[in-house]
Amino acid sequence: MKRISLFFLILILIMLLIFYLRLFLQQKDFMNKAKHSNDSIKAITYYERVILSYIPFSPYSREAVNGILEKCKKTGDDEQKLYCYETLRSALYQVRSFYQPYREEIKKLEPLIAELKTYEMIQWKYNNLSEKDYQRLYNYNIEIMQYDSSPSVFWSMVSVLSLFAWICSVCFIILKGLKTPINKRYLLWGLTGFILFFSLWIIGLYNA
Amino acid sequence: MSSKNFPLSISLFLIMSLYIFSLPPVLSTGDGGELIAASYGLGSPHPSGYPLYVQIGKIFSFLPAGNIGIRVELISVFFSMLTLLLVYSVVFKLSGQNREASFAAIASVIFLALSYSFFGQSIVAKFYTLNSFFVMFLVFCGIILVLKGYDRRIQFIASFILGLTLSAHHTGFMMIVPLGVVGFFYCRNFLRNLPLSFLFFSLGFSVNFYFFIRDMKGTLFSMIPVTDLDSFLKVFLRKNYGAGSSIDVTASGFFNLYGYFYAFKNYLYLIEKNFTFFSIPFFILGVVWLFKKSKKLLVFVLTSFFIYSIFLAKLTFSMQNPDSHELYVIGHQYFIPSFAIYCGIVGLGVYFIYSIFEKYGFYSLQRIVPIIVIFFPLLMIFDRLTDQYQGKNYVPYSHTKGIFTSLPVASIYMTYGDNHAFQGWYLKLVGRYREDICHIVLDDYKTMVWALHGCKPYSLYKRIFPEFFGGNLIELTEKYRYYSIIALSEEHPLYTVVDSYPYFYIFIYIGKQSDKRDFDEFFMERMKKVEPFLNYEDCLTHRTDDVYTLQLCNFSTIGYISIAKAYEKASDKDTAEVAFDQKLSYGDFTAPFKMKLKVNSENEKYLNIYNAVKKYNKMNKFYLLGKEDEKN
Repeated sequence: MKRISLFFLILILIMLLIFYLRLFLQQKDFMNKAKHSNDSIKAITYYERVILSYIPFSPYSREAVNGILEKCKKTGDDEQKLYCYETLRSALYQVRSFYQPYREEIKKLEPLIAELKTYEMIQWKYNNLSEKDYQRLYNYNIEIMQYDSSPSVFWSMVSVLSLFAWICSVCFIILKGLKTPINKRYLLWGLTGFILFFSLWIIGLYNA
Repeated sequence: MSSKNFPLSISLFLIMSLYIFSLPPVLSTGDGGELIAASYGLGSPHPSGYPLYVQIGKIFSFLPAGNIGIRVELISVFFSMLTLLLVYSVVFKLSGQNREASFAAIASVIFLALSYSFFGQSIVAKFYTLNSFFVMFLVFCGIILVLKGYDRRIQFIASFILGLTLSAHHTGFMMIVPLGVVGFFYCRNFLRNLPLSFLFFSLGFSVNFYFFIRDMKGTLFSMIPVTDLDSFLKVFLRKNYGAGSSIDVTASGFFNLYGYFYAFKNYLYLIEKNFTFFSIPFFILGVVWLFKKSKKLLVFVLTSFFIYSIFLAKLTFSMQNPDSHELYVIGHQYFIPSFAIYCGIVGLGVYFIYSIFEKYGFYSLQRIVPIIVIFFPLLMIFDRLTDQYQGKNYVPYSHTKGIFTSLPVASIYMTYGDNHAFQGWYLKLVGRYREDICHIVLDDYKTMVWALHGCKPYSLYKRIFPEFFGGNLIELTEKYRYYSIIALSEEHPLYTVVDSYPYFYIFIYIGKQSDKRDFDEFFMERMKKVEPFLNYEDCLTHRTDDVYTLQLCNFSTIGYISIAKAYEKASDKDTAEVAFDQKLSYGDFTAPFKMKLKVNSENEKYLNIYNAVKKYNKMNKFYLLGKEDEKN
């Protein structure tokens, strides 16, 4: 059992190390390209790819966020500005884990995006909307953006880890408890673990 | 680490590195986007729902590195590595358990790892390597049972895993047949422990409770919500696929027996493409080795192999001439477990030869050949780096993002088919990009029944789409806010009411009553506005032969022509025209795509891009198509 656990641990560790290496090389490559690109849309794409290759504490990620923000400020065209802000917001959402990196940036971006979208809707000449509709449309846009339908991080973690734990409990019951003759102590431990984690799994799934 | 395990560790490290560096950087095509969105939102993807995969996906989505898409793709690498380790263990245990056995096992591991389809499935967000792991684990259980004699714990573990397979991929459950054969060998003990086995099987199966609990309160993403037993059976048994439902497909194995001929032929073709015919003599030697080792073992291993090769091919792959779609969605995916067993047997065949060296005293050959043999399958790395490497494949992401970006604020975007729909869900639900767009998915080309996963919650979207939710689609088309990937043909119900015109990578629907001159002006203005978002580089650098990637890139060529059209000049009157007269296919339906273009110095570059993308993304690049199709 110990050997198997150690094996899994080493496998995951090595996998993560290689994964981090790939992401780091990717970040470095795209950061270079972003810095040397004269086309602002392309530069934004490269910065976005740096963020999508997110590594915690990597200086490249922060640099890319700032790089995109700088490009957004310089862009005069509203549609390109919207693309720029939306790209940054979306990239940051795509790298969220059990925590949201750069949460403050997202908070700042959302009103800007809602504002741009509202203007775009009003200026879209086929819509028959006017400045009077501004506040109403702005509210609709910001509400959609602030509505988060993703499951709760805490309960998701509880449920998925409990699933893993009750599967292990069943294996423990079989391998350790149901030896010949039956080992009652292990069986009891296994059963307790199973009932506990199975219940937690159900509760977690419901609350997530 | 002992020196005995050093070659194995190095090989696995090399394979793992190769896989991780080949993962698509954001999401893979096909089911990838859907499975990532469902994993992230703890939702339910298409039937049979794959609750175990989705929950494992959720664990992986928490990794603090990369983006959610690539994290979920890592599941395939993880289970691939475990499958490879099981293949190693099977070969090692069934051979001499010595140095030569280890080298033979490593050779078979590399052979499998670098084969076309196994490699391909190891780097995309899909459940096939998880399924292979379960199958190989059950094969391993059966082997241990035969080698070490009956142990009820193995029967219980196998029953539990069989239950679990029904929450991963249903084909895993087919291991019940070979395991039943082993049960027959130990009939009395097997039957005595059957009730408890059933209990453990039920525990494994209980992972499917997931559907009821998650759909009780409504999730971010649920393809078909499960609310009662009927809806559960619909999802679990894939009843919505009609003749493709689990029960009907399984039943087809026992009818039209001549289909076994085509099943055999098609499967043999896959073996040739993945492992070449040179592997077959080693496979036969492996069978001989198993026969010598134990008859029971031979029966068990061959039954397992038959079930996942010829029998599965009869169920799913027994068409006379499989086309590229069938080769891609069936041939490239379903047979991974059989390939694992095949390589295991090939490994035994290789060991058989080493044992002959020993028997006849060729000791120097016995020492050198096993090392050299490892390098032969390693040569396949070069093939995989030219056909399966997806480390730079941004196409599914950038293509979908390009479409979203080109749309005016508060537009409807209608998709049909897995490729566009699933990627749209990823971008909308996970990436939260352009949340002002309402993404709807057509179920059937001929109907107007759509799924609204891409504009939830309805209460919020109703406010910016009162026309759509009020059922007035024509008003939306008049406002130039209705876009779709579908070019309309006579078969489509909207054909009589609206016209479809190319718009960037997709189409815009305009009411038949609308003024065409207004539209021309709109078109010119919009194409020039969205031109900076044109991304063709990704379609020229993706390096993969992935069929859906090639399809996306070919589909995107509409965009280059549209933009070229917008840059036509009045002075081009006398210039020669280039005519595009193509047919776009949507499953069984086709729609015409016609456009005439006057080429000038300003728009010529878009035509060059069109040609370059078409050339780079020829569909016959797909490796499984074979040489005959390449010529056509």
